[in-house]
Amino acid sequence: MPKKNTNGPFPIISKYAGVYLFLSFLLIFLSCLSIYLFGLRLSIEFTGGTIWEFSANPPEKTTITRQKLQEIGVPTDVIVSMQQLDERTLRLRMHPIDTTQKQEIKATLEQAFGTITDQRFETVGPSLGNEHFRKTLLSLGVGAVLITLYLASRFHSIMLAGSALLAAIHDGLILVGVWAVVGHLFSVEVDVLFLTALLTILSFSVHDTIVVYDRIRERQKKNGWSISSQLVDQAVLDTLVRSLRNSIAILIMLLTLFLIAGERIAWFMFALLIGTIAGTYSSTFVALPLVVAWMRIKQKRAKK
Amino acid sequence: MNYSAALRWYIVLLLAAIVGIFIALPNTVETTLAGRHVRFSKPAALFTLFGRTIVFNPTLQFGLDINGGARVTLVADTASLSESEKKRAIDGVREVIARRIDLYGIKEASVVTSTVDDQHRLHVSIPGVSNTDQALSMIGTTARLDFREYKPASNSASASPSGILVSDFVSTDLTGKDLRSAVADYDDTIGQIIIYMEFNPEGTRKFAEITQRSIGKPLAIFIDDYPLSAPIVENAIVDGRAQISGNFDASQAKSLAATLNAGALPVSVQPVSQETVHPELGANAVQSLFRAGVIGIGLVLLFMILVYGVKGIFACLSLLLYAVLSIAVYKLIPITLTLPGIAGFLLSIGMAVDTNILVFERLREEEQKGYGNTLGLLSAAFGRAFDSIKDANVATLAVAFILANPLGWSFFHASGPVRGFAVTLMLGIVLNLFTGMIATRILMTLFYKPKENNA
Repeated sequence: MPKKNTNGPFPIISKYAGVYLFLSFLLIFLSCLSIYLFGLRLSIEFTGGTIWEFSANPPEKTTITRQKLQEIGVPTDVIVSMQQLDERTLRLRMHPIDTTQKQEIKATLEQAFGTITDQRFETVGPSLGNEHFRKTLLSLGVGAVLITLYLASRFHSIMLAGSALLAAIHDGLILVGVWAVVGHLFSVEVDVLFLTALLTILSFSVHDTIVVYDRIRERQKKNGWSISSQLVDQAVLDTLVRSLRNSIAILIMLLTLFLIAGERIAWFMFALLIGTIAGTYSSTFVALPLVVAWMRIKQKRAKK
Repeated sequence: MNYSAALRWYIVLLLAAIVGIFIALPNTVETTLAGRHVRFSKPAALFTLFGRTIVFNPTLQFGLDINGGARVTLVADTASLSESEKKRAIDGVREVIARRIDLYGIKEASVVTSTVDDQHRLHVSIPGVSNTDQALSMIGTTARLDFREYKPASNSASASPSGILVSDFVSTDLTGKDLRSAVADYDDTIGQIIIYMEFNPEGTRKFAEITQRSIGKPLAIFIDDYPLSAPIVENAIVDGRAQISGNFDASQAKSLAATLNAGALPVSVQPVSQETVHPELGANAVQSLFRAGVIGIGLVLLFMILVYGVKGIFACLSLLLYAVLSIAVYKLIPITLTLPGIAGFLLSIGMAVDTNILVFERLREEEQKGYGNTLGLLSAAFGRAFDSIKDANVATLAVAFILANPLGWSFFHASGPVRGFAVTLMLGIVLNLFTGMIATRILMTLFYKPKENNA
């Protein structure tokens, strides 16, 4: 029987680069769309405000509504939203209040509903929120720059470094897009922890991409430092299995953590989960098609 | 690495493992065994160093979100002060707050200052407190310094053994407002550290009168109605410059001087952010995280054995070593673990697997090429793999470094939970390079026998 590919490795990337890139553009478009439609729910760490979670055991079961609070004399204009977490626990999101105000409100509440136990009380002044936002953007920016510089120096190629960075940004955008949807459906907020996840995903994505690049570099050494689509294809085929296995290991850990660990960590894990899947995918099917496309454009320019 | 080198390193490894396990094990474990409640305690290591006996019994430190407690960021109003005064004022406030928390008997509290955009801040962290409202209201008040003279009540038949009671002191009109500054310095002539106090003109006058009246008697300095120091007045001081000597060591003297300054330059503080967590909430979270972690690690180990067979066992051993060493390091440094921090640790275990996978895949390739000789095989595999491992980990390390912000740069975060995650991640990467590369290699050099090449 005649062999399928007498001329070289299965063109997993070079032939279908267009398809992959189209898919990625679609994903990015969908993400941007969802961000536009649903918006992002920013936590108080960025907007400023107060979150107060407390549990009460009222003598007669009453549902606590805004009206009820007004009736007993609580200044409800500071309350932005209320959420009943479970039978006994209530979460209030408010404009920033200080300890004295809180104690006043607590006293009023206790008169009506009996002893109140504070579970969580978090206040962030508005200026601090702004600052968190700035610092996070800065961290993201510096992180991206550092990684790109390092890549460019290790692989002697802006093309490779740029593609890796774009792949990472692609993952980041997808994560934010997913968060817009999740935020809309499950009231999940964008907080500092989410941004930590975003930054971690940036590094994951690059980490994964580097391993494939390393294989390319190795073959380049044998091929006199030139790079071709065939080289890329072969490198991908070589490392596909390894990449998958590595990702499975991390995914096992993340999945377990997401499913079993408590609520506070669950969404953080979920973000990392999405990011890891995206990162694995993007290393092979985003970064490399970009490299191939880049090469083709360079070739066309050279011909002109 | 040749056989004898590997053997030597193996001994080092075993030692590290044993010490690590000893440190990492929990200090006490209580369970029911055969229906009876038993309690295992780990002996604390006791040894003498330079003549001082040291008890070595480190425990894991948990952060606020696990132990419960309060964390406040205060801004100090230093607008009206000059540059040199600002530093003294902030140190003073820091000292006073630390003192107040101390009075509460809380051991692991921390008060840290930082400067952002010309704003002077204090980050106060009080773990383990459930009545946080009370604690916080106590912290926010401005320091009050005053001097009191000794006028024992006439029925001092009920005096304490030392002869002096706090209630024997009566307020004078000399307060912190009259104090200009306090400095701790080393006096060569006496060979001791002395606190030098300087009063303003009004204060000088009052001080002269009081010291005149109190020669031979103690003059007490009170901060927040709490006695700070009660030196005996030796003679009347008319120039407004006083010295307090008392065999202080450097840190005692600094602390005393800072507190005096806090009274002299009272600065009001305003909370700009606050976080309180009920202890119960944290305890539940840790339990679930712990459970998840154990299951996760188990599954990953299973995966490695399924995919890589015998080699997988070496990976398992080095992963377990990694976990043990990590916990030991957390106890030694010590690193305060928060929920995200623990999550970062568990995540890094997943990443540690990556190092092993990279090596094993290389190994598989080299085996197919047919090296025949185990040592050559291993050295080729580990050598080639290290390049990509190094590159890949640097990226994550860079990001973790930015998040952890160990140098405390003000343009990056100084926030608790994020830092906790980043620190454990950073440590994880460094440790992982050790266990993943070196430990696995040692074990394999000594015990691995590659199957016959039957590709």
